[in-house]
Amino acid sequence: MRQMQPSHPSPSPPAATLSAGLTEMVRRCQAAECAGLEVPAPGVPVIAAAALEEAANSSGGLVWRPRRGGFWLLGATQGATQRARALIEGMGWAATPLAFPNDMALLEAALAAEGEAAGPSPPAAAAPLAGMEERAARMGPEAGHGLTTLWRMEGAAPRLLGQRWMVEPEALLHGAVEQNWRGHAQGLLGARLLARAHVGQWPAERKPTLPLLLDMPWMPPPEQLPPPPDSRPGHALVLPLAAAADAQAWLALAGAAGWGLAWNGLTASLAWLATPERLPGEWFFARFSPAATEAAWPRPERLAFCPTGDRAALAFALGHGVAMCSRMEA
Amino acid sequence: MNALSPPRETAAANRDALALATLARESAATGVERRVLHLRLSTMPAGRNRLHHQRLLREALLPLLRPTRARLFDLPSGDLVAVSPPPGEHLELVRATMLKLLGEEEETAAMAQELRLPTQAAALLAVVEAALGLGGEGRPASQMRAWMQAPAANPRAGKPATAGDILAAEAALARADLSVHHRWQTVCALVDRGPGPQVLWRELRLAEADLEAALLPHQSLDPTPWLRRRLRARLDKRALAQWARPEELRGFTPRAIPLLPASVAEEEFMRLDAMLPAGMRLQLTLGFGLPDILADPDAFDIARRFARLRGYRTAVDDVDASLLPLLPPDLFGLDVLKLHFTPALLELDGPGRAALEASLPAERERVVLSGADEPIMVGWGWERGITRFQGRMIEQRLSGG
Repeated sequence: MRQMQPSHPSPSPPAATLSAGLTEMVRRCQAAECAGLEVPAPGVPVIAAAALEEAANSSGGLVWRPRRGGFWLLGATQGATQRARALIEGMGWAATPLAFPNDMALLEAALAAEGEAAGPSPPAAAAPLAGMEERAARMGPEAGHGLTTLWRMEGAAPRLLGQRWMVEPEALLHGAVEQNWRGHAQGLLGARLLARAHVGQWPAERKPTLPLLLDMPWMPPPEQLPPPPDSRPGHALVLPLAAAADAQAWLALAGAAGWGLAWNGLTASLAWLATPERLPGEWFFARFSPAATEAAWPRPERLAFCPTGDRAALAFALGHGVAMCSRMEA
Repeated sequence: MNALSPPRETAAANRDALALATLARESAATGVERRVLHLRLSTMPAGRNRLHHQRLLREALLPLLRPTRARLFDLPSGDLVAVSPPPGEHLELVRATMLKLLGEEEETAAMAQELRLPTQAAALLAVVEAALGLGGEGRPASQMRAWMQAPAANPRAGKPATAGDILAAEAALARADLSVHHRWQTVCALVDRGPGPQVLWRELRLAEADLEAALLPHQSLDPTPWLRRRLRARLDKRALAQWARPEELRGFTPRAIPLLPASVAEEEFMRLDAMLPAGMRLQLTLGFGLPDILADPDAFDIARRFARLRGYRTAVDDVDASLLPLLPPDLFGLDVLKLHFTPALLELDGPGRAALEASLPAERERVVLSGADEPIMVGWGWERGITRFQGRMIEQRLSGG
């Protein structure tokens, strides 16, 4: 039996210390033929982890989660690995099949990198959810929203098409926040914009020659809307796509007050909605994604990428007459 | 126990109370409607609160109920509860008789309380609890009673719901028994001049309005739809966690559950998915509401892709006909369209009917008409080639009502 040693501060275990299970699995991968899978960056880690765990459980394998992110399935059978791979690739995420011991070098490199990887960084302090209404009420009049300019290249010059008075929920909630909380924050800030519009407090940087597009919260159609800043055509209320079920009611209400409609939140898979027969609107705002380049947009001239996106977005927009959004200073 | 009840009747009265509680829960679970008349004889006005008055009244009322399909429950408190399938006109006769016997005074009139199941199942359960003596002060409140009573003292009644209110409601949800708010509804094949309804699958729905009223009494979530979605997301997780248990999977029959798309990518769904063999996954239909799809298209893309890869059946849940133009012809690749019946469908003119029919999948077996509460609604469906239905009429046919 070991003697008790005098108490000394024990050194921290090295960052690269592997669990007993992982160590054993690495040995098995070195010694015997088995299959594996590397999934470096799954879109939804919960789903990828479940698929790999299922494969591991059914074939005596193990799922390793490196600190840098992603997953490795180790020591599984070929069949179980194939099933997991089919699911993960079917979801549209990359997966690299591994055959051990041939691919030991890849695994060893990853294990070595694990030793150098920093431990998981603590999550950024998120703003508390409770009390966000009071925080929104206390925000300064210019906080939580901004003015972006809608433009399109026509010939060699950009043509300004309008200005969108947008909410910026990051001012109220930051960090990784579930979509429903973010939506609620957008709603609170949208209600502030609407209240300002009711008393005619339009943004100081507004260009009177351009139509104003006003972000609206997702809410039931109200009894009354404020009139637009002037009688020029083209002013529109920007509704979240979630409000599409009330599109006709909003159309009547907005029309009576002098506004048109625009829709925010379109995706490539909903591109077919962007027609007046389906969704009445002057503009359709979408976030750019690679899938957007494959989608059949029925009216690309009424489409705007907001935020603008990367070079691919710019190239697609230039080629198809799609509009983009930029802050005034840009 | 009520002091007026003779001891030899106590056991029978307790059995009646428990049977009534079971009936209330079953109605809540299945959605089968019942009319209830609660005769609060324990509150009989002073001077009449005697056993022989109660017996006289019971003897007078029983003959009225006997020829009907009503059931009479004799509670330990001395109260009587009559339960009848709708429309239950004879319950009105019972009430009138009671008033005639006791005198039509204001306090006597208050002794008869009408309730409807399943919507007021919680209130009926509270009656049973009180009758069983579970409402006494100093006793530890049961979880369910705490759940039902807590909202009554909502200090934020009448104010718009806030994130803090939702967080508090979520905390209450964590310890609540939700079974009283569950409604199982059946989807059946029912063809014109064919046999009776053939059960295809059963669907678990939550009585969301009742639940919201219990969690956030006198606070509407209508102005804050994102908060309502947040609450629904938590309810989804609870329902999924409940299903992901071995005992729930024994005797697994075809079933459906409406979910927010994002709920498919939650740990709770992954646990259920891991427990379901491929054959069972085929028997589970995941329903997604069109407004929920539009509110979170990215989550929906993930949910439908995962469902297809894993072999679940999928449905667009409870679509109002006015929203059919927002549906793509391929139904987003989902299997079933659940069209919700509204009276406006009966008022469509010829072109309107033609447009609606053109927007339905040609394979009409992919269409379910939900909200089919009356025969005329089933008839409307038959005229459009729809032979799959869900609603009160189906439940009543299945229960022989």
